[in-house]
Amino acid sequence: MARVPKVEPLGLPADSAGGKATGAKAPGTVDDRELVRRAQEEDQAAFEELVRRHQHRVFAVAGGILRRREDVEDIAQQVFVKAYFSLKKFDQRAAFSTWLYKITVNECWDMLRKKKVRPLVYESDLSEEQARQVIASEEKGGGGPDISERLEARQRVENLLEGLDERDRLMLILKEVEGFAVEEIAQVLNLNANTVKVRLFRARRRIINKVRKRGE
Amino acid sequence: MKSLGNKQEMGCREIQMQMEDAPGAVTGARELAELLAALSNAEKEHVTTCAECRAAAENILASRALLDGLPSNADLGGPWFAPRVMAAIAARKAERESAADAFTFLPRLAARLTWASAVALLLASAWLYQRPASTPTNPVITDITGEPIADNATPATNDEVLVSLAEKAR
Repeated sequence: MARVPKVEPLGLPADSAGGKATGAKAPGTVDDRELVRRAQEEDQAAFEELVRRHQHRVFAVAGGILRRREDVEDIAQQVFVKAYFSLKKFDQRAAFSTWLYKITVNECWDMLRKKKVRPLVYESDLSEEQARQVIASEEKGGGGPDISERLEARQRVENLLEGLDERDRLMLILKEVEGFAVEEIAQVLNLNANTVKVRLFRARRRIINKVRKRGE
Repeated sequence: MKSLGNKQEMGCREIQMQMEDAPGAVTGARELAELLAALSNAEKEHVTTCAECRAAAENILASRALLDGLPSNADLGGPWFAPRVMAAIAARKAERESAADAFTFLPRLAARLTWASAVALLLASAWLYQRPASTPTNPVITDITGEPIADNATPATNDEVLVSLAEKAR
């Protein structure tokens, strides 16, 4: 399963290669603050580099809220376009990633409000796109349970997540599926890290209790 | 005793919060021992004996296993994504510039229109001021056939007046 390459936490230099965070700045890389400053001076290449660095995290957050691939792509593009045109107002007091997460979360909630749909596929079957994803991963992966079993299992998990509060669901997905740290989730949702931990703890307990009740 | 209980509760909460800090996803622990690796020996021992903390640890591992089947969305945006964003930005910029052009064109046109209207107004008022006053015409009263009932023509000379009086007397 693909995981999100970690970007600089709290304004520290990011690993621009898109791999896992090493904690040290690779030689020749420019930190986000410098790229933002250049982008504010209309340097297109600097902004493109920022997009490359942060696109995985934006996709992860948008995917955690929207869960539909088509919507996620549209929103991710919208987020970066909006960020570009608002960049001059960004004073760099917070990390660029934090600012970007806020735009992402707001755009996603706005989209859901406009569409007046619930973020998950809930009781319905998985969309064709999601089914295609499972089939593609099955073809890549080779062995293991057959496609219909995997689709069913995934549908069951989606249905379990349905019962959670939207924020709790996002926290769980970001933590366990996308590999975000608690501090990053706190940034995304503008919450205290301890609040995130407590809510994660309760959300886990809720879904596990549900599984036990259903005898799964 | 009560304070000891509270202390114990505090310890449980802290340990549970520490376990939540354990990284999820691929680098995350799948086994209890891995999950507790970051804890001190005393805390590890506590988790194995405390039912609440053990349940919390098991919940973390179970939910992790459950969500393992969900795909990550992080790689949805491939290498094509950044150029696509830049193209969208360029298009939006062009759109904004053309809209800005329309907005600057209108005030310019408005200024010219103001001047033209001012000149037209000046000319019209000058013409109205200099125009000769028109004389009202006497209305002609006619009978049912359309013939004039009274001769409204005013006599031009004194002789004409006298002639008309004589005719009347006759």
